Amino acid sequence: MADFHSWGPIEWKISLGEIANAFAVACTGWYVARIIEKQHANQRALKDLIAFLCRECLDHLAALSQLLEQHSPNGGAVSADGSRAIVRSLQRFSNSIHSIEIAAKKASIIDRLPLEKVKSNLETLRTQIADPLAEAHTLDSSIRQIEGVIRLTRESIIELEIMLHSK
Amino acid sequence: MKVAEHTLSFNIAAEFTRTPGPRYISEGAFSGEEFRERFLKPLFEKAVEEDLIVSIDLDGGYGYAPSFLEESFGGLAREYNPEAVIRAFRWKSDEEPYLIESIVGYIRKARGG
Repeated sequence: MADFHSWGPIEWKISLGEIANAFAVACTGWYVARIIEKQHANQRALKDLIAFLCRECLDHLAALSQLLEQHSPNGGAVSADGSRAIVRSLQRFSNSIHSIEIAAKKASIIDRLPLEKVKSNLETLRTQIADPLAEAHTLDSSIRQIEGVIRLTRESIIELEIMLHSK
Repeated sequence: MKVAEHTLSFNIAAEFTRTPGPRYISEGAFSGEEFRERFLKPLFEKAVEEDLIVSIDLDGGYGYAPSFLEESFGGLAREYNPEAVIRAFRWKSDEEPYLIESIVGYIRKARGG
């Protein structure tokens, strides 16, 4: 026991066991803090990845809109090559949403993101675009409705990214 | 059509068409209705009779209209039973994974489920 003399009514004494205990507590605290910091860094990295995937998804949606404008600006007939290009663009957009879902599951935040809304809009988009193309290689007068669904889909992806950063 | 132990495999692009069409036969070639009547129903009935799983490969084609898939698999579920159809089939789609989720959704909704 070391005696660090008295200071008024306070007596300062400390044992080797207490020093060892304090050191162990400090080391444990430091180690736990490191683990938590690493977990936070991992979570931040995953969120950044999902945010990147959301931007990529919006890019694919914009590309789809441009293709529709290019191949059927006023609705009406679409060439076979145009149909295939549009369907491929839909596929890329669908897969970009799938990538977001996979990343969100890995990050264990899937339940906190409104992904079902995005997927529901995707299904509507596929129905409005792929069905008339398959039936008659035409988009007819549904082009305005398609742009309306594209808007809703874009906004649902934006909402998802906002929710991502708010959690 | 390949047969492995307990499984029937079917690749739509190789064994039916690479360009799946509209919903009904009356609307055009390679429709969902044609696919169901010519291939899916016999496959399903064989699977139920022999206790097999039918593995459907969706890859290799030019893509599917939702109406094609709904008439194929949803139509089968309307004729038989949604749960029986889901039990009998497995799907593979590396090119567009969400197609599988859509198909299962069409089957479940086929009888208001």
